[in-house]
Amino acid sequence: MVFQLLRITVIVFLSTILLAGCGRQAGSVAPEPPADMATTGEAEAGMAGEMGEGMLSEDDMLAERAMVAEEQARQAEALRQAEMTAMAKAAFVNEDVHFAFDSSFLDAEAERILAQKAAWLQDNADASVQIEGHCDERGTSAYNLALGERRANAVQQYLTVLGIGADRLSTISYGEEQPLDPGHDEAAWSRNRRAHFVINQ
Amino acid sequence: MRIAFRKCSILALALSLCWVVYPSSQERIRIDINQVGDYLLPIALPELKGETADPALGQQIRAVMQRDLERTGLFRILEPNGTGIQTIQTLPYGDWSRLGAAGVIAGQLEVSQGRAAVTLQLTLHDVAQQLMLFGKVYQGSRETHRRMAHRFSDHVLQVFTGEQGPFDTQVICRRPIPDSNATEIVRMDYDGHGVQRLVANGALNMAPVLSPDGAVLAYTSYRDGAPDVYLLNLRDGQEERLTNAPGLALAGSWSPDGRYLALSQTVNGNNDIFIYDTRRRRFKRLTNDLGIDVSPSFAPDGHRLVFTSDRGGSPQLYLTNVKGGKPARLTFEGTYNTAPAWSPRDDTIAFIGRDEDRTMAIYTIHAESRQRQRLSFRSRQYEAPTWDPNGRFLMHTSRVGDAWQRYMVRQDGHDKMLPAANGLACLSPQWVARAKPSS
Repeated sequence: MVFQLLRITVIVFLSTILLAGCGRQAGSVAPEPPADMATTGEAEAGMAGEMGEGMLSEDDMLAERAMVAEEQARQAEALRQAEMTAMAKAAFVNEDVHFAFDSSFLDAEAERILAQKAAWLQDNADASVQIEGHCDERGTSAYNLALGERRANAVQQYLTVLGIGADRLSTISYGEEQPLDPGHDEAAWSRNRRAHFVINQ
Repeated sequence: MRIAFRKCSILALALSLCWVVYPSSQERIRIDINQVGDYLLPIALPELKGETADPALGQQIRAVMQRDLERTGLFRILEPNGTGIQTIQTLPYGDWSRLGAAGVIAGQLEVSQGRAAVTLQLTLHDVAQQLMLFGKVYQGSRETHRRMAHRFSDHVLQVFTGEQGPFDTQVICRRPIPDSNATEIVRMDYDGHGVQRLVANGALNMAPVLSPDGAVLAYTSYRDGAPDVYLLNLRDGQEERLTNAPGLALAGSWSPDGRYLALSQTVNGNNDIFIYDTRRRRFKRLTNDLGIDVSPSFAPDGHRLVFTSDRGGSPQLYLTNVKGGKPARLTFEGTYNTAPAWSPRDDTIAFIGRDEDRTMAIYTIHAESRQRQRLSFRSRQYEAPTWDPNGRFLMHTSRVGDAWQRYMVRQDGHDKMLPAANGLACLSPQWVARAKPSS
């Protein structure tokens, strides 16, 4: 962005020199800018740019526009890439694997999510993660801690089958201690029966 | 009639002298705690003699006894205030009878000049037989007044039922720290008073179990990352980390002699029951099964144990012994039976079951006869039954709205909510004998 502004400023500066070099009033109703206009920087750049517009040849203009457009596209692409990386990371962290009551079975949806997790882990080979196993509030505390551990272990095992090194995948169970949804209905319970991923810093 | 005077065991700071009157008659009031009907024995609890010198104190002492006795569901407390009649000394038995009282708790309160020391005399009377059944004198600092009242309530229950009351007891539990994922472990009176922090390390702490002598607290903490079991000696503050595996380790119960700690531990991804011998400092594996094995609880014989396992496909109770024999399945009804607590007095085991209607409930089952009884019928979440040290009452937690509440439950299911300490929940309660003061 800064680079782009700098570039525009340079273009404007060149235009202003061209304008000054002509030594005569442009066919414009706008008053001539003061002599130090070109050096006053970005604040007046827009105005100076308008003033100089007619003075560039059509070809120069097109070339300049193409350069700017190319640069903008390049930067947009970089931004899009960065956004996609961030989105992939956010999806990795935010999308949980869910389970049925008193179950650590990985259904088709869980396997689909875990395939995405594995892809991200392959793209980010230096990342290691902790898999948290969680339960809903029903059932009892000790059993749910063991069930949460089994859920985390099931997810860990599946990811190792997909080729992720077990040394990158630690597990921990929080049982029913850290519900995502504080509600007491099936919607809350099903959100809370989950394996959650945390990227180790 | 025989009158016996004897010195009784004493409160930390209080001297108490008790006398017991054994009535010779056959018509003595007797409540069979196993065969309780709807009848509530009416007991009058009038103002104490001398209470006007410190009305707040006297009222508190009477309120503690009233709450204790009402929680049993065996008594109805009459408060004949406003009759102008204050003590047994000023009212003949016949008048108490006309007020509908079967028994009277009368007392005399003396407060020292500086109000620091208290002398409390309490007597229990049978109105129909016109005789005193029991009496005690307590002396102690003002802070011990709740204990004096709890101890007398224990005696009242003893006189009428033959069973030691559960009132002068304490509870170990974990309390959520607001706006955090951490819990602290506390000890407090059974009715939520006198909270003492035992573990406050800013981490999530689970499953506290105190040894029978009150000296060692075993608990699970996430403070070093993985959930491991720690042993905290409450007498000298020394602490050791008992387990060191990356998986889950949870303390279950102490053997009655305090030598062994039964626990569950995940080793190489496999969750099993172990016992730890505190004398030889060695672990012994009791189960070896791919399923979940958690919540071991010792029988009073110190030999058998009950635990939860899902080796058969759903969580059920299983019996084993310290030698590690093949576990025998105990529960067959329902598909979710967990959190067993073996009674300290017999073969009754309390647990949480999920019934056909898919709600959790408190149950008891007999280890030998397998006779099963449901104790709760509300559609709620239930957790963590624990027995009083005498094995006559249960305590559990149940969610009411968004809050977990503690309940005291009789073996026939009658229950009463217990006060929350400072409005905070008491989770995973373990009902324990009162800690002896450290000398």
